[in-house]
Amino acid sequence: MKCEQAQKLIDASVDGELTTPFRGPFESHLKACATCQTELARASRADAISRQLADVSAPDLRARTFDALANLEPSRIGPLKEIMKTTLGIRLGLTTALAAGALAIAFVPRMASANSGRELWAKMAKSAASIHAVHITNVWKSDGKKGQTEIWTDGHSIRMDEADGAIRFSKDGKFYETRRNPDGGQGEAVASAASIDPAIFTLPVQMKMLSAGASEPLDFGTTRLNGVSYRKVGIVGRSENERYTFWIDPNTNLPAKKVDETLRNGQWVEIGYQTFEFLEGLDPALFNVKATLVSDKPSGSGLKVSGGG
Amino acid sequence: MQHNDRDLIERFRKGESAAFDELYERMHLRIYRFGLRLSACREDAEDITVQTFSEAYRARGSFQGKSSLETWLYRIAVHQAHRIGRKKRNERRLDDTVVDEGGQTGFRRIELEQLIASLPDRQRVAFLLVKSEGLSYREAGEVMGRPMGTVQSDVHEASKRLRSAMFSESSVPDTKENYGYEV
Repeated sequence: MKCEQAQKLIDASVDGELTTPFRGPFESHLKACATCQTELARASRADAISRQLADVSAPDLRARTFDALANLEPSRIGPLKEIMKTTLGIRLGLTTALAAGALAIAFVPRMASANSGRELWAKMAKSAASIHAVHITNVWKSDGKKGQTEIWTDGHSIRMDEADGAIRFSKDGKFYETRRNPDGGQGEAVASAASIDPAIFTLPVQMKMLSAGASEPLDFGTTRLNGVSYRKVGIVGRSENERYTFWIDPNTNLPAKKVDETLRNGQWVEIGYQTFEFLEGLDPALFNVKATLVSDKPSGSGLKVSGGG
Repeated sequence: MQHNDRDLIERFRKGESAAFDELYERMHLRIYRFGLRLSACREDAEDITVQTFSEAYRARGSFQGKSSLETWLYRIAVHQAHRIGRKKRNERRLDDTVVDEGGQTGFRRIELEQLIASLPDRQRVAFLLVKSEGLSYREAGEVMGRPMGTVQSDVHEASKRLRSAMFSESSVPDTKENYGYEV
């Protein structure tokens, strides 16, 4: 073992984290190398000093914490994941007909003031921007086919599973794209995962994309389902023939659902929807999917992906 | 918090206030301390602590028990620190009240606090989780959502930077008076 490699292991040694394969060669090198011995001694001293940082007393924040909890009204809203299960009745794998039926009951547009729409949108964008961990299920219909993409991000990593079409993700500040695994069938999703720069990816994908088109959000009133009243705000999409309506939870101001519609023969027709679950405690195992970059090109590059997470 | 805490986890997930209280009692000091070191600001540390526990309660149904409650809470704390820190990204400075915390006269504590505050975000999180909070590399990896090797590298880079600054000639000389022994 050379000094360069040994010095990279010095801190792991001090922290008691040196793994077996490296321990023997590291210790052998150390015996024969005065430079690394000196560095190890300095690392040990610095470690002892650093661990003194544990000496801190904390104020009693219990009252403030319970105030914050009271504002959340947990007994009423609960985790959004549970709301999605019990209230909207939309889960992965449910039929399009069931989803469409729920929408038909709930979706009664009532135009209110544009000003109110802007306020709703601003609240939603602010709330969404404050939360990094999100799970988005994106369901769309095209030419009689139904596709589905799922996205998880925790602010550090993003994972996308999809059943059709292309997927994009960012890594090291650049965006990469991959195509559907030709061997994967419907429901046999391609999985990819990558580390991301939080500075670039602070908003959920769809929120970031749509924020540019939110010039005049409209208030579509309220839909009440199972005791929860969802405010609805609609925005024009990438063209005037597309519009998106977000269902906003009144307690959290977070979007629970977004409905995509297109104008056909003068009628707004649903072409897809997204559900949002904002969760702080995403399982790290979600991102344990190996993706091998096979091209250095920042866009249009292919990826070989293995594992399903 | 390991296997013998399954009961606590179950009660917490069901929303029992007594379980939440117990969790708060066990962890609030650690979360506050972590928030304090991350933000270098007492006010932010309080916000991080309050928001971490309220978010934990709100999202309790999503906790699957694959990691420990401890690492899950740290993970939430990291998110909250990022959220709160974003608002003050351009105002980052060391809160003077932090460095005198606890009345410790530990070696070069003020300098160390300043050095840690100057580390890149990811290195600072990894370093504090391991050195201050005593987590293993694996546990820190769970908190950060990163492989152990990345944590090891981040801790090494952070430690190297701190060592370099702490023991450089431009800093306080390495003397017997400073260390308590010859260097």
